[in-house]
Formats: sequence, structure tokens, C-alpha cells
Amino acid sequence: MNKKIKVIIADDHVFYRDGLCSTINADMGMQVIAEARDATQLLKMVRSLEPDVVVTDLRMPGDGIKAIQQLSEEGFLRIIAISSFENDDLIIEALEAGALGYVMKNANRGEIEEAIKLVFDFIPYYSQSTSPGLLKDILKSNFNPYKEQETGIFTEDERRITTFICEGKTTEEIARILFLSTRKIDRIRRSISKKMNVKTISGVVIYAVKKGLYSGPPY
Amino acid sequence: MHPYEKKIYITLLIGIIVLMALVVFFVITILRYHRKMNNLRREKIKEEINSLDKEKERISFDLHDDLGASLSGIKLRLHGLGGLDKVNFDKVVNIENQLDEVMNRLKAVAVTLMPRILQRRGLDKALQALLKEFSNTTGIEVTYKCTVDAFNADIAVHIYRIAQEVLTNIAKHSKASHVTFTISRNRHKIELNIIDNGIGFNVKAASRNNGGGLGLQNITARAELLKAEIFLTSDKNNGVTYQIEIPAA
Repeated sequence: MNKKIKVIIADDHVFYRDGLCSTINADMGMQVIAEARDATQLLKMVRSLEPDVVVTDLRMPGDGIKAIQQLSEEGFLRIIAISSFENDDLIIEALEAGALGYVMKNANRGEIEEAIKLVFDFIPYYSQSTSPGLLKDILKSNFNPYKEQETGIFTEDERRITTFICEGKTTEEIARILFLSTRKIDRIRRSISKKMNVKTISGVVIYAVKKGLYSGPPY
Repeated sequence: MHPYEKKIYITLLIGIIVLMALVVFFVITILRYHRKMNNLRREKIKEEINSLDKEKERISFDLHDDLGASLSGIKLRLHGLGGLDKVNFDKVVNIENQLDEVMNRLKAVAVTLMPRILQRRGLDKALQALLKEFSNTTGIEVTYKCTVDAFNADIAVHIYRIAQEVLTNIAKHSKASHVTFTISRNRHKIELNIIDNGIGFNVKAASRNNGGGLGLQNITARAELLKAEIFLTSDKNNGVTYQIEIPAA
């Protein structure tokens, strides 16, 4: 069996820490090795315990965003930000500070574990509950986890359908435009998501825009 | 003229002048006092409204950040439950959904108390969200237009609160199917216009009745703080127009 992913969590709220712990530890592939109450504690713990992934709240004593900034300057990149719905601009700040993914406080079942697994592999994770407004802000922001402009892995069909997705078209609409069955479109969409390593439409759009696959106005 | 007569006239004249001076003095004093009382009253209302707003903000923060996080934490603990059979798993998912429902309600209360979007994104975005929510919950159609790009933060809070009160009134009493909401500005003032197409009300009776219901009183008090003027016009079955003119600072 592989070694478990070592996780440190940080949140000033004890109930929430308990919840995070029990959901993460319930996954056989990962383990919470320490819990921090504030930014200072988090920094100390990361330096001494060398976790694989950090999951941190943004609004806590000592400022979660500053902690993310500090960690990323020290070369620690596998950071997931947790935020509540209303704090879109905090999420942007966290991503620009160096977080590689974000989940909402009120995450769906399995989301946090999924985020941890992806970020562990240095793959960005975008919450399933990303609102159109937040997506727009991410596209405008300086956040770009995709350094190289390598886009040759996509077929002609995949590129065209990516463009349609970025324009906000549904599978049915794309099928009508391309005279293809919706099943075929769905298959291509799955292949696109797989190549991009993203789970949501927002993920596709962010990847496409940040990698220069799509340059038109989104939505 | 007899010298005595002259003396009497002069004395009389002096007396009249003194008397007039006294009257003028009294009138000025009374006016001053009145103005002072008015200012005091306005200050008091201002303080009350401001402290109420602060309190609302605090409660909203507690609800959202403290209770909201607790509920999310409990939900995560449910996610972490292992070894469940199908029946119990379904039960747990059901509880999670109920928690989500409670959280949504809690969030709605918190937002009504103090919309964070107002501080973070400004009045225009906050009003858009408010009107969308209003439209969703009441089924009343809304046309919104705002041509002002920046507001002073103080003014923004009061305009938002006035909008909340007016919309509550409309939802409660108007039986309207459509609301037009516009904010515009010229060199001297910001103008807020809210027009519904409902059953209307008797403006005179409402203002006589101790400044109307609580909602109307609140609107008037906030308008007074902004040194704004309110024009309420309504006809039976012809809707209500709330026009509020705020001097641009």
C-alpha cells in the first residue's frame, strides 16, 4: 500500500477542525498529522512536520492568506484554501498568494478528499460550487498554475469543443452546431476534462483561458 | 412741542425699542433652542440607527462565521462516518441535506442583517443581489438600473436599508407584479426611484398615522439622516412611487 498523504489543517473553529479531521481520516489514503488554530501555529507545524498538503481557513487569527503567501515563498506549494461562499475575493487573494486549490466551507461529500488527492499531485482544484462571478474573477486574476503553454495534447475536436464550453454552451447546443450526437460530445468532454485534470466546467474554462487555448470573452 | 411731551415721546421710543429688542432676542432664542433640539433629536436618531446597524453586523457575523462553521463542521463529521449500510447511509445523507437547508436559512438571516457584499462589492452589486433575491422569493418582476458608479460608504448603507424597507413594504402590502428600481445622479443629488404597480395606499392617512408603520418610519428616519427628501405618491390601484432625493456630498 502507498504511504498516506500527510495533511495539516488550520482553522480557528474547533467544530470545523473536528469535522475536517474526521472526514479526511475516514479516507484510507490520507491522514491529518496536526491541527493548527492560527497562522503562526500553522507555519511552525509545516516547518517542523513537513506535511504533503495543507488545508487552511482564510479568516483566522494571524491571517490565513499571509500564511499561504509565506508558505509559498518558502517553497511549499500544496495548499488548499477553505472559504465560505460570500468571500469570493478572499479566494482570489488566496490563489494569488499561492494556494493551488480551494473548497467551500460547506463542501459536498468527498470534495475535500478529492481536492487533497489532486493537489498532492500538484494539480489545481476548483470547488464544485464555483459561482460564475468567482469564475470571472479567477480568470481576471494573476493566478496561473499552468506555467508552460503546452496545448498540443488536444485534438482538433477537443479544441473546438473547449471553445464552445468556454462560451457557455451546453452539450446539446454543441451537438446541434457540430451535427454530432450528444453521446459523442459527452465522450469528448470527458476526454478534455481528463487531459486537463479538472472536474468541473469552471475547471475547463480556467485551464483553457490560462493556457491560452481560449481567448474570447467567457460567457 | 412741550419739553415734557418731547421727553415722554423719547421715553416711549426708547421703551418700544427696548421691547422690540427683547422680542427679537426671545424669538432668536426660541428659534435657536428649536434648532438645537432638532439637531439633538437628529443626532439621537442617527446614533440609534448607527448602533443598531453595528449590532446587526455583529449578530450577522456571529451567525455566519460561528454557527455556520459549526454546522459545516458537523456535516463534515457525518461525511466521515464509516461502516454504514445502505439504509443508514441514506439516513445520514438525509441529515446532511437538512443541515444544508438550515445553513441556507441561517445564511439568509445573516445576509438580511448585514450583507457583506455591500462592504466588499459596493452598493450596485448589493442591490442587484437584493433585488434578485426579492424577485425569486416574491415572484415580483424587477427592472433595475443604476447609473451611479461610486457611493460614499455611509450613504450606501442607508440607501441599502431604505431599499430593504421599501421592498419589504412592497412584498407585504402592494400586491404588485412589477417593480422599477432606478438610481441616478446629477450634479446636486442622488435620486432613488422605486415604483410598484400594486394597489397603492393612502399617503395622507399613512403619514398622519404617526409617520406610518414601522417600515415607513424607518425609511423617513434614514432619509432624514441623509438630509434627503422623500416624495411618496400613490393612487388607489395605481401603485406607489417612492422618490428619494439625497444631496450629493
